[in-house]
Amino acid sequence: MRGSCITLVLLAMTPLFGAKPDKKKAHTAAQGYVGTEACLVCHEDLGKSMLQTRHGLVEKEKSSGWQGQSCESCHGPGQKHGEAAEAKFILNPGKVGLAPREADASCLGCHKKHSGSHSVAQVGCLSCHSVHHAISDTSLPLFRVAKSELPTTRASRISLINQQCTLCHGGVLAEFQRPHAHLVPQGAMSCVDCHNPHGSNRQAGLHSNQPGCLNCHSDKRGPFAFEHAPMRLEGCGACHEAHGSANPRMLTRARVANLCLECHSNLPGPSNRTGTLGSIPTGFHDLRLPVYQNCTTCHTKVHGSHASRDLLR
Amino acid sequence: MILLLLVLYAQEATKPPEAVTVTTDVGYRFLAGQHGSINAYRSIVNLGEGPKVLGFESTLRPVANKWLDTARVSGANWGDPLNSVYAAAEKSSLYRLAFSYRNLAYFNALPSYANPQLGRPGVNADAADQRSYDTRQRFWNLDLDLRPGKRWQPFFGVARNAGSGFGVSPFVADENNYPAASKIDYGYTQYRGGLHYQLEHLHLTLEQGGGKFQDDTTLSIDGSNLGNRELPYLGRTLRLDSAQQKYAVRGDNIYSSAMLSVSPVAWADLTGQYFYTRPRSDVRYSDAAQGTLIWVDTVRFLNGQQSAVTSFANQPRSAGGFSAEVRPTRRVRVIEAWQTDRAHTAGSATLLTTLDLRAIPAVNATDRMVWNQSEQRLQAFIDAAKWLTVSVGHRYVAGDAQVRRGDLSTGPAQEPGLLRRNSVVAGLVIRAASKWSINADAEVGRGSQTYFRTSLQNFEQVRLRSRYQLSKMLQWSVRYTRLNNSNPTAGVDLDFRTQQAGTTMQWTMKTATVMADYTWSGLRNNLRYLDPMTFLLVPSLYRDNAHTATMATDLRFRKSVLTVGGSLFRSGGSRPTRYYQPLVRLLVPVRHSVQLLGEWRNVSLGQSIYSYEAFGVQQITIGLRLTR
Repeated sequence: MRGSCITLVLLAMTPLFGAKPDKKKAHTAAQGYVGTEACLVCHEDLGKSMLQTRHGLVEKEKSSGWQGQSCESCHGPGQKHGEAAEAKFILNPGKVGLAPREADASCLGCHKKHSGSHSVAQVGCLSCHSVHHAISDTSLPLFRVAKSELPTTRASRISLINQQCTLCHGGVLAEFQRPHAHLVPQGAMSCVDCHNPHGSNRQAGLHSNQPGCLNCHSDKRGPFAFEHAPMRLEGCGACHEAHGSANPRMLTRARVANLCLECHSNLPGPSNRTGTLGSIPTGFHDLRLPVYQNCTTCHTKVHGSHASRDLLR
Repeated sequence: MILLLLVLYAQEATKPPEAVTVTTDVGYRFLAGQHGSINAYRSIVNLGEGPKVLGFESTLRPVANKWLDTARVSGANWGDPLNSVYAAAEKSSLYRLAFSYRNLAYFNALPSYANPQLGRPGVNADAADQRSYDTRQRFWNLDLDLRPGKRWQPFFGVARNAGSGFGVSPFVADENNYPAASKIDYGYTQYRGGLHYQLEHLHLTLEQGGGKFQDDTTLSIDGSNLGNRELPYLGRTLRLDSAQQKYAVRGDNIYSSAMLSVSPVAWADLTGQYFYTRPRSDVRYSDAAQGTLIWVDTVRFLNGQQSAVTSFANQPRSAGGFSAEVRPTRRVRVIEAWQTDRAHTAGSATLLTTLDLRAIPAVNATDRMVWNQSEQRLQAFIDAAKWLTVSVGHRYVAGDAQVRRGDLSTGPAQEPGLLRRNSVVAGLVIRAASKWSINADAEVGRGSQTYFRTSLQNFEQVRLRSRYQLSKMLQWSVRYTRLNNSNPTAGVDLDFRTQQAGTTMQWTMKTATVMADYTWSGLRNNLRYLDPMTFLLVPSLYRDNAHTATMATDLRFRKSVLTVGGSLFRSGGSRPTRYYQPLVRLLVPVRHSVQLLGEWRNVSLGQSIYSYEAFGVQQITIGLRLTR
């Protein structure tokens, strides 16, 4: 019943936002459209290469609205360009110096949900993606890599995705060279395992609608009968350097006691009026003794506990 | 299995297949000159000696096959503790099927992190610490997209991640804690399915999914264990003779999500998303211990104790967001975005304790944590000139939380946490020349309330990046970031500053490719906290000043490739560290479709304060790349 309702709603929306695309969209010769075959006369290599990518669907699929006109779906009408054989008569989103917003307009026309943080920062789609070449599973980058050097194994492709990200985010590359880091330089993980480069409603483009770090660290997932507030309120970054650290367990401090006590330092009062959380430890802790220098020796369930209010087990 | 059948079917249907490529890298790694801490080496690098399948890939592209355009199977690092397999099959407009598997070893035993006995006579500095792991984490997922490119695109997925292995974890009893052998076994399986619905001006994704979680971790001690306590308690030495601890955690989760993007008019885009989830946990916990124990509440010595806990928790969570991008003129773009995340955890536990075979009354405990957070952002982008884009905006973050009050506080069971932060954002993009761009943005925020003493309160953040395309093949960029944060509240006096500056050069020539990066970073954190022994305010100081250089240079002579590079990291401050990983790699053709692989890598760690964790090793790998 519910499924039927959703279907009915969607069908009702169809006329509003895209009914009958092939009829409505008259990309006709009168408007200057010449079709892909005409483009291939001069741009055979590019065209054939593009047709092997997922963009080839635009050429083949009637529902795309651009069947047989896939080149012009991004580059606009080609008649004038074909007749004059001059570059200035064709839209070229990859043109150097074009504002990213202008360049992205043709991509985002179809890839609507991909408008995100990079777009806001004026980093265009073509900074990372190759439109015409199927050079990796996701048609990713490698502009600056010669075709003969294309990676032959998936592991090296992961490395190249990471390399593409670090071309701009070089500081992050440096963070991964610290001794305690996620296995990104080793090719066991890729930046896009955690970050959604197309944008997310979470900070730092972390994958939305997914539990972020908990996607792999599922033992920290909970919910716990006794939660540790920072894990929910500030996230893992409250205590860990996600990219890499000189400290074990990628902690933000060299000594665990400092990390805990920097928050657990509010004096008890009748009620918390400041809205700042983190009260002092209840027990006697002599920080000179090694046993108290790592709070997690006793508070083993620091991410949350199912059995102990004090996170002891 | 499905993929294999598809590949076999495709091979059968297209004799001979038009395009099949196979690449395999096999080799043997030797370790030489190993010195220092083995545990630290395994915790950080963990690459051993032996035969390896460094990588393999097979791609099949049959001609005019009804069910398959491309099938690909690849894998990497078999024989190493981080191996993977990936397989995919695809038929245009019909389906995409992808499977991936990763198996990562997680070994961690660093005494500087948690060995309270370190420094005692007779305790080896290289002994495993008391929060150590020797586990494997396995991840796999299978995703199927149907009718890609069509208006209706159903999709399905299954994913699982699991961890299992052994470790050392403390068994905590009153006034002492005892290192115990732990057996770790947990796993989470997620199922999902949904539909993409795609029109020219509307994209909609509906998804429904769920998951199951289990954790059966156990701890055990067999034999006398004096624990970490150095001194007798009231004249008696506390010890354990045997102990067992068992967790049986079962959890499940359902979620629903929807995402909609609409362009109702040419000058506006609207997006909205909604997410709802309701994970639950149902837990049975038990422990039993025999020895000389103390029950602090009554200051009574015991010979044995048992406890059992049943607990339950659920965590309904709703998150949603809406954004609108409006382009009133050709040069102006305004983005308004609002999002909210609202959740709470409700937990309850019942504790049954038996002391020396005498049961004490059951204790019931409940807990509740609530957090609601919303963010609103308004930002305008103006193309002031063809070469200049300016942006300015405002961001407001507000949140409220309820957590259980501290043990020493009086009053209601819950205490409030509040977050209020206003900030101004600004940025500019300059395309000064066709090959030169500058990207800068800044955010200045002032918070009246924060959840924690260390949270962002009064902060300034700047990011600057410039890229210059010196030639078609040579690119150079510089970058600088800085974040200042302070909380002047008396007793907190937080003064946090982090900076990073770096430069990257990439040069692609006909016979060589050079990528080099240098980064300097500095972090300074000053804060006051209450010493739990004296309750006096004392400073917590943390410093980290680091230099990192990475380089990868590929030199090509005919079909041979020589790679020289690696990374150097050196830091000073609270934990001075040096970590060097230079490498040289060579690929030489031996025959048609056979290449010789060789790699030398030196890995060394030095730490002046925790010198017992230093190590060094040389890894030498020799192998073949076979291509067909």
